Amino acid sequence: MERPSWAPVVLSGALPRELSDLLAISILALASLESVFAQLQRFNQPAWFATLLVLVPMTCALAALSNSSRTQKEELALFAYGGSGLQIQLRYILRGVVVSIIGLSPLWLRFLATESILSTNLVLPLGSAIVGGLAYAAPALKRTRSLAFVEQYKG
Amino acid sequence: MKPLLECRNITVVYPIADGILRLYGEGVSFTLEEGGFLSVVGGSGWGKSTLVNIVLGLEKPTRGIVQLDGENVTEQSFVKRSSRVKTAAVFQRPTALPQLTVLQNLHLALSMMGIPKRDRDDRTKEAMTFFGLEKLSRSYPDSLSAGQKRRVDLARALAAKPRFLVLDEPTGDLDSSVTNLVMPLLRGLNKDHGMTILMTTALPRHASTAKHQIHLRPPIFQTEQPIAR
Repeated sequence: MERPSWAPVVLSGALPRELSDLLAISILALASLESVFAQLQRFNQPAWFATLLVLVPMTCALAALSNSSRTQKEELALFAYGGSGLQIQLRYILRGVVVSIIGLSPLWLRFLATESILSTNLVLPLGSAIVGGLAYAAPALKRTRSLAFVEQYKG
Repeated sequence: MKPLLECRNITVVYPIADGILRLYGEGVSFTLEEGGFLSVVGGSGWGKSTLVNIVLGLEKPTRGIVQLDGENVTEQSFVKRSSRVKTAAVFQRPTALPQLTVLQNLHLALSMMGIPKRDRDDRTKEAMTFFGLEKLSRSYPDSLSAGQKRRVDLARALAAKPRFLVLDEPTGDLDSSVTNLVMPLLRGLNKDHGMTILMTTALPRHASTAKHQIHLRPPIFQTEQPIAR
């Protein structure tokens, strides 16, 4: 029995492959490294979290925006293959989360080395990664909902 | 025969500078029976692609009703319509994920439709062989010519073995040798496999491949009436 599946459309786009994604990972990794080496004492949580909440979504949104001509082709193809708007959004959210998690890996490693796994400090970058995923998906959401989007199918 | 698709009084109105553009005159109506093959014929800018988008659920008409398999689907998306009647579409502009190879694109499209892996392998191989794409299986779509991209789209749509196939000018960008393959293929799919096909074309000789044809009317420009003082 053939039943349309969510997994291929969401999971096939999870891994960042574009140059803009790699640049975003590099920027986040550099900021994380700087943060790790600069913090000799415990993190100043509110200020640090505020910085993450600004840096991560902005970097992810820029990565998604800078590659919009290719991602638009991706969206047009996914709709043509039978994907839904929600599936495509989930695909981008997942990719944005992966970009954020890899980019913030110096912070994860520091936490794993120094803090309990249930530390609230660990929850903060995780929250930032989710916000990064949402920010990564935002340009696609705006693009696919515009009236001009389906015009792209026409010659 | 039971109608698979029924469009009634479809009209689309676009606002343009100094007025409106009305497609399909007072409205286009047609019925496509299960196992039917219909060509929609019209000139450039007459709304063939818009009609395809309306049939698929990618655009909504300003007025009119689309019924699929007996249900009013005018407000339904492509995904919902496709879950009701398995549909594959080939658009006028090639559609493929640029970061995946030709083979990966075909596999992804079939896996999204829930086709098991062993069937996917067979179907992609068969479709790629038919369209002469074996040597391009590891190529990326952006490196292909317009005609090759069109062949990839056709292979992807036909490998899905849909119940309803919608094609927007399927022979655009194709050279005559491939066109000569595609038209008999469509006729065979319709005749031998009972696939219901809706195709748009500007060329009457291609339209004659189908069992039935409808001819669109040219769009009407209406200028805004000056305000009476």
